[in-house]
Amino acid sequence: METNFLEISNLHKSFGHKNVLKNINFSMQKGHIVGLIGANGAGKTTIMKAILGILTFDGKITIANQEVSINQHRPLESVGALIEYPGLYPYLTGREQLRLFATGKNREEKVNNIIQKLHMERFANQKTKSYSLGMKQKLGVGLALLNDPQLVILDEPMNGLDPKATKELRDLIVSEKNNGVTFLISSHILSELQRIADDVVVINHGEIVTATTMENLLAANKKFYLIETDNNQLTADLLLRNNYQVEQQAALKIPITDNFSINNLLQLLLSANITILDIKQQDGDLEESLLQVLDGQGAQNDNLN
Amino acid sequence: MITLIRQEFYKLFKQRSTQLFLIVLFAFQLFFAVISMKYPKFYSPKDAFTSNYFASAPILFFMIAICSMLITKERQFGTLRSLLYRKFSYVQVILSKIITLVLFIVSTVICSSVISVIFKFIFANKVDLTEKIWKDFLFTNLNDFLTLLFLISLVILLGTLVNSSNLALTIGIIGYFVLNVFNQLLFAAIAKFEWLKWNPLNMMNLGVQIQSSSYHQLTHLTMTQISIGYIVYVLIFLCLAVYSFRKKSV
Repeated sequence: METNFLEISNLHKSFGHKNVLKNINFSMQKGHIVGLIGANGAGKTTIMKAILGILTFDGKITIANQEVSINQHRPLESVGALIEYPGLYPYLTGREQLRLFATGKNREEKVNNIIQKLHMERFANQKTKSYSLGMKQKLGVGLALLNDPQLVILDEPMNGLDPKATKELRDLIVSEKNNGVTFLISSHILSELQRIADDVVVINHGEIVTATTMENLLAANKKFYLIETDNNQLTADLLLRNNYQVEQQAALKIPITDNFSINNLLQLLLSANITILDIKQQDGDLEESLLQVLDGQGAQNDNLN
Repeated sequence: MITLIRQEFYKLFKQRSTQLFLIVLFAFQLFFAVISMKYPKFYSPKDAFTSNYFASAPILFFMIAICSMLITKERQFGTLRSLLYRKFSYVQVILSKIITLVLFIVSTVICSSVISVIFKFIFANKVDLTEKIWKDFLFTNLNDFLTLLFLISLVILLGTLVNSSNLALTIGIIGYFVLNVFNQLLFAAIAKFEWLKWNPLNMMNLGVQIQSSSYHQLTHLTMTQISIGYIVYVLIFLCLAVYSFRKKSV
């Protein structure tokens, strides 16, 4: 049975008269990767800071059934985090920085392990003041993962990473997830989140727009075929007569529905002597889905007004 | 808490300024030890020894500097946040910093005193270690330590209140000179306005009053009063520092 590792209920936060979080409710199952998505200023970092007990808030946050607040940090023993940017001591090397924060037994082993996992051997013994943005980011992620946390909170972890490092980090996150680690990740690189997140929480203007599985969110923007023929108008008419959905007719966009068969479609077109110039399958896209969801919320708000 | 103190010591000793300070402190004492040996008329070996070969000056300036930057440096490096989103509370984090500094001051004062004793045997072997000389030596150290502890509690408070370490640093150093330069003015003022004896600057005379009990005629405070006043002011400054740190947004 899957259990909730983190639960947030009725979370509100104001800065002065400005409500930055309004009635936030969601939970995270153990061993899941949850993507926290929203525009700049939507409230993602504030949610993360509230979970980490570094700001006051109204509502309730529990980690492994233990309540967290600005005065109650005990549950954070099993949490690692990287918020906004990695804070590093410039006079320490990467290795020393890891040594500083390593706790418990086998500290040196933990440090070596992280250096190896994040491929930091090349620069681990350099002072962090000489690090590039990507190196700092790697070390920041390393610090978050250092003490074998059960929950890892990463705010824009891919910032400044080159494609190779991005892939390595993605693989590491998935591997840690497979070991039962739970992740809450915010990122503007939606294609990366799409690849790794099991669940998504979409937030806009401090409110949750949707909290669902990645699969459900992508279903809002289904997979489809794009077909180009020698006569698109004729083809569209033919497909519509045969109960296919045709969403656009410039290049025919045909959603893949439950009983869809590409063989049947091709046979239908060939039997009608239609020449197929191009055919390609496209998957649902998180960006498109997100825009649809946000547009939906906009329309809802318009209706309310 | 032990983990936090271990981490604070690790950071402190990894800083080049700390390493440099320890070298400078040794060199400073060595310099005055040599001067007192070579020019005993200008600077008597006995006075040099009882004044701990002037170790209090570099200790005081360095400690005020690191205390003023206690929080501002963490903020500048962006590390304050990562100190706080762990299992440790805000209070534990700031207390670990204060405890580390006090332990560092105590160990530095002890080390400098041990070095002074060694230097006395090397450079001022002719000076007899009478009871009076030992007393002077210990009281001078105690006086310097108590003055420093009082000043750093104030500087720590300022360091948590302001986002600039410069202000805390300036006030700490001015505080030291104010005590030395304006003490006579303060005593004159206290003689005129009795209530002024409760001001915090007067409490900084605790060390001198321990050394010379007749000092109570100037401070207008008994030994008990000045001792309690000293402790109460230090505790107020530190409690306010903890409170101010808790209220800081990260």
